[in-house]
Amino acid sequence: MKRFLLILQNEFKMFRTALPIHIIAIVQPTIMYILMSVIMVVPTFDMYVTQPETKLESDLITAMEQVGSPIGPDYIDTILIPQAYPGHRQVIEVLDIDGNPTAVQKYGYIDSNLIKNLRNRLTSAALILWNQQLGSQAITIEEHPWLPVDVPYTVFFGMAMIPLAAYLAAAMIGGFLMAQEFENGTILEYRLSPISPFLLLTARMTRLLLTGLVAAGILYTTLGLITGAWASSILPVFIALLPLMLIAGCIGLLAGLLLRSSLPSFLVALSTAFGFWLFGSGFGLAAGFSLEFERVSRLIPNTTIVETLFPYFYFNRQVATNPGAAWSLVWAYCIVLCLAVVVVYRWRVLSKQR
Amino acid sequence: MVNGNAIEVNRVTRHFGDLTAVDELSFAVGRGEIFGLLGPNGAGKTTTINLILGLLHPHQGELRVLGHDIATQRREVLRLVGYVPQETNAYDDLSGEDNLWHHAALFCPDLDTARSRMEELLHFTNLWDRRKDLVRTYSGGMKRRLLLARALLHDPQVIFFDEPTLGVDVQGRYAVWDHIQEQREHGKTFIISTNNMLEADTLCDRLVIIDRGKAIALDSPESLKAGLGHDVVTIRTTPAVGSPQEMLVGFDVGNISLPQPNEIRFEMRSAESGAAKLIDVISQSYQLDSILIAKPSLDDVFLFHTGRALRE
Repeated sequence: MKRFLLILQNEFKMFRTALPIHIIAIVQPTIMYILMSVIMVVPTFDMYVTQPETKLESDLITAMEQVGSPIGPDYIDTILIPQAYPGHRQVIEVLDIDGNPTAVQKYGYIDSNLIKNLRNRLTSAALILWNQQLGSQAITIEEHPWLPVDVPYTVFFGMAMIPLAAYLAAAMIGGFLMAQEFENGTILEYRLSPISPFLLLTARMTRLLLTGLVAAGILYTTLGLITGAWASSILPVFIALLPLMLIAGCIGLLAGLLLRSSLPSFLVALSTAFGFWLFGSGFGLAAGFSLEFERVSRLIPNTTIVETLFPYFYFNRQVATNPGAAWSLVWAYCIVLCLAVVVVYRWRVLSKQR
Repeated sequence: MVNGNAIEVNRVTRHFGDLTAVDELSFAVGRGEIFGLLGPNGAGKTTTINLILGLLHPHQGELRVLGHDIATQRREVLRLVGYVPQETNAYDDLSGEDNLWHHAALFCPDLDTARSRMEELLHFTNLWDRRKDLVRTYSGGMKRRLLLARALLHDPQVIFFDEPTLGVDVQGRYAVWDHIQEQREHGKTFIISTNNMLEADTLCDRLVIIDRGKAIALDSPESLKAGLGHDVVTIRTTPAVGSPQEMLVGFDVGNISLPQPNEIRFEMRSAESGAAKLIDVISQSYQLDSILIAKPSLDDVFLFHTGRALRE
């Protein structure tokens, strides 16, 4: 145990040999989350609307302002501008044409997704206005939300990035450090060491897991501070990350051992991390996408982790359809990759050159 | 082979593709010896060390370290040996002390004594005051001394030192040599790979000269040089001697060469006693600028056996 702790202590001292990589690997997901949550995942958007002149036009604008989530915020923040506003962005001009409220959409460079969002909201506004005119025949819409409140997308986005943060730190640092041992010739120390290679690999993996937890912890804290969403129980969240970090550490170590060059190892870790994130429920639950995408997503361990974390951020609502099978797959990945690391370590480090 | 040798290398061969890097090499190293592997770059010295350490698989032959067969008892061997490689492979961004702790975790059988051993070795290698500094701030000599301290940390019986003073300044070189000799006094066996003749001459009790993977001579430096049975004479004349072979007819000389246009170098038996006659003969036709009679060097030994200078 004393030797293990000494090796572990030395492993942590190694951060000095790759300081920029450690900073990037540990902090990058958090910075990315902060930037993207500010820029991308805002549920509302500002809409420039020309000043109404008639009551009908005002009613249309009021209807637009009522469009929103049944349990959350309204989607459209109207900003009234003069009629002659020189539009260089999307502008809605509300008109009363022969008693018909008309919304004229004017837009410059905006993408089809934004147009879709805008049109959906305008259609909703039109429906509200139309419904108001129906009197006793108005359609009553009953809404039964699954969650007690509307949880902003920034929460899901951040929650789904926690596995990315843990993975990225373990894989990137693992791969880089291992490759660096080859580049600097320090691998010779390991080749000549008479102590058990399992002890060395266990110490290195433990260090990667702890580093991954630090990265995940930083993002978790940032998520909580920004959104106020703290997990209902923190321990299961971090325990759920351990197998993913084990997978990440193995992939990093394998990249370092096989490539023996720090930059390619770094890139392998980076690309697998982002691949796992994008296809592993990084932007939404797998069940919300197409069947084909969901099938692919279910093969990626991140999906299982995200679905495991979900209840702790979403009022204990379960989304995992078959957690037993999903976790069996995750553990199978762990076992296979750990065995692969042992085999490749013996091949690349311990075996005599023939 | 005599039982109780530190190292026994018996008819070992190693190929790299078509190249035979080590060719039926045999030698034995006694305990407490400083033994040299001398040869030009590419002679097979480092390959030989890698074979003894079990880093390379021999295609033929047997290697034993302190009685342990490297093929079947490698882990036992690794507990007993230390290695300072040719390239400095310390962690540059860790302190000297942290590098030693890293080694201790990987090698020291008893971690309780590692700290005191480390202190002793840092004092021994004169690195105590710089132990907290990053290795990247060390000079070449300090790095070699650190690697020596590292190799000695787990108290090995046999230390392999590949090019001990490569890239080290003169002052650092003597310090490294002193440390090696001092450790030998404590019973350590050193196997030194070098192409530095002065180093081999100064340090080694015995050495094997290796060329193209083959052992071409094995003995103490003094015996190897004495075995040549001649002195080395270098004369300078004005003008240059036209036909040295003709001029030296009647003298017991060999291996005549012309290192410079007006310089002749040759081997001569009992050169000191024949010097007067030699000067007479030369002075009849040329102005003798200088004459130097020297005992042969290890380079001459190499030249004698291979027909090439070690420096070539």
